[in-house]
Amino acid sequence: MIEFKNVSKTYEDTGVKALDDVSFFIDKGEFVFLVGPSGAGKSTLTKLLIKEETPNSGEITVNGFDLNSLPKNKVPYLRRSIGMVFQDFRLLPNKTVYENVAFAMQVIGASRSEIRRNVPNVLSLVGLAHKARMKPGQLSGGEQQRVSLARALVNKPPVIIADEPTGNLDPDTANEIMHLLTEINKRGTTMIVATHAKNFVDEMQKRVLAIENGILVRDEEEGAYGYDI
Amino acid sequence: MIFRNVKYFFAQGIKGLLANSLMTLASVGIVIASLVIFGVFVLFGMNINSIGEQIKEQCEINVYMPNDMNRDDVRAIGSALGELEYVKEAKLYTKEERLQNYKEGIHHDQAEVISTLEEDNPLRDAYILSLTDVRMANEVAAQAAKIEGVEEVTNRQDLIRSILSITNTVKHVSVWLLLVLAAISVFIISNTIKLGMFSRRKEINIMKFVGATDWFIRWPFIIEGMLLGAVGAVIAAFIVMFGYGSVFGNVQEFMGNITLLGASEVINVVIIGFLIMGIGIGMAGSAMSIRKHLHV
Ligand SMILES: Nc1ncnc2c1ncn2[C@@H]1O[C@H](COP(=O)(O)OP(=O)(O)O)[C@@H](O)[C@H]1O
Ligand SMILES: [Mg+2]
Repeated sequence: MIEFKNVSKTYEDTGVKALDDVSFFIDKGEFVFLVGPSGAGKSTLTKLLIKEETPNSGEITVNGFDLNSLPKNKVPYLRRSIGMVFQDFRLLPNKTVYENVAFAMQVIGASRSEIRRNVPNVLSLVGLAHKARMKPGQLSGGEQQRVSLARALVNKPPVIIADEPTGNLDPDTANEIMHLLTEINKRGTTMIVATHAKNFVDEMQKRVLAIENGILVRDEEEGAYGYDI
Repeated sequence: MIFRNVKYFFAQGIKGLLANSLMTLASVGIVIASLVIFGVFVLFGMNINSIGEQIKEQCEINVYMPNDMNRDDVRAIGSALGELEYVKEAKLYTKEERLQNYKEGIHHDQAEVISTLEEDNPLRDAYILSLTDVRMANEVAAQAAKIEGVEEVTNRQDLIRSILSITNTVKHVSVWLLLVLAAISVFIISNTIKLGMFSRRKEINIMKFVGATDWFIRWPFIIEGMLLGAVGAVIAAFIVMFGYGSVFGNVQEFMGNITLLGASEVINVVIIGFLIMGIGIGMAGSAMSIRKHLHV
C-alpha cells in the first residue's frame, strides 16, 4: 500500500540530508507511529508521500501511484487518496466548520448532493455535528483539530497522514484526538501519525517507525517510543 | 469543465474582485483610461480613413478638351487616356451633361442665365479618370497632359497625399499607444491578482494538499482578471460612445459633403473591440501573476 525503497532526500539549499536510505512497507489498514526527535526527518517523510518534495534517490509507491514516474498533473489524484492533518490545523478562519469541511470536496469538483451527504456524516463521526455553524475561532484547539480531521476524511481517502496532530494540544485533548485516530483506523483507514508524544506511543502498542538524523533506526510491531525526552 | 465548477470559479473570481476593492478600482480605472484613449485614436483613424476614401472617390483626375473639339476627336483622346498606366477607367462627361448637371445645381430664378448658356454652351467635354492607384495621380496627370488635344488636367493629389499620411500616422500611433497602454494595464492587473493570491494563500495551500487540480486553483484568478478587463471595457465603451455621439454632430457641420462615420457604424467595433481587448488584457495580467506567483 505504501512502500519506501532506499529513499534518500537532501535539501539542496541547506545541504541537509533529511532522509538517508529509508525503506519500509505499510500495509492497508495499519496504524503506524512515526517517531523521532525534532529535525529527525518525520515531516520530510510525509512531504515525500504527497509529492510535495521529491527524493534524490529511491522509489516510493503510495496507493498504487509510483511517485517517481507520476507526472505533475496527476499529483492531485495522489493527494485525493491521502487525508492530511497538521499540527496547526490549517482551517480557514472565515468559513464555518461545515464550510471548511465542504471546501475539501468542492475544490475537487464534488457535487452539491455528495457534499450535503458526506459533510454531516463526517462531522458526526468526529463529534462536531452540533458545532457545524461555528467558526474555527469559536472552537477549542481539540475541536479545531477534529474539524481538520473531518476535512481529511470527507473524501474517503484510504490513508490518513497526521503530522504532529497533538503538538498544539493539552494532554487530555491530545488523548481524545489519539483515541479518535484509532477509532477511524478501526474502520479501515490506514493511519500514519508522526509524533513525539512519548506517552501515547508507549501506551498504544502500535507499530513504530523510529527515525534519527534521517535514518530509520527501528521498525517494531507494538513498539514504544524508545527515547528519553 | 463541469457547470458547477464554472459557477464556483465565477463566484470566487467575483469574491476576489470585491475583497480587494481598492486594487479592483485601480485596475478597472486603468483599463478604462487605456481603452478610452485608444478608442479616441481608433475613431479618429477610422474617420480619417473614411474621409480619405470619400476624397479618393471625389477627386478623380479631370481631363478637359477644348470647347470646340468635335466628339470623334474627343473620343479618340478618351481611348488614349484609357490606355494610360494606372488608369482604371476613363469616363466621358460631355459638355451637355455638365450643363445639365450645373442647371440642377442652381436656382430657378436664374433661368435667364441658363437659357443664355444653352444657346452657347461655354463648358468643355471632359474625361474623368479613375485610377488603380491614387498615389500615381500626379504621374497620370502629367501623362494625360502630354496627349495631343488635351487642354487642361486637374487633380487633387496633394490633398490625397496629406490624408494618406495622416491616416498612416494615426495607425502607427494607435498601435504603439495600444501596446504601451496594454502593458501598463497588464502590469496593474497582474499586481491586483498577485495581492488576491497573497490574501488567499491559506486557501490555495489547502486546495493543494486536498488534491485540487492546478487548473482548478488557477481558474478563479483567470476569471478575476477577465472580469476586471470586461468591466473596464464596458464602461470605456459607454464613455467613448457617449463622447462620440456628442462630438459627432458639431464636427459634421464643418465637413460639407464629406460624411463622418455615424455612431451606429462604429458602435460594434467599439464594443466588440473593447471587450476583446479588455478581456485579453485581463487574462494576460492573470497569466503573468499565475506564472510568477502561483506555484501549483
Ligand atoms: N524546506 C526545507 N529546506 C531545507 N531544509 C529543510 C527543509 N525542511 C526541513 N529541512 C531540514 O531537514 C531536516 C528534517 O526536518 P523535518 O523533516 O521537518 O523534521 P521533523 O519533522 O522530524 O522535525 C531538518 O534538519 C530540517 O532543518
Ligand atoms: Mg515535523
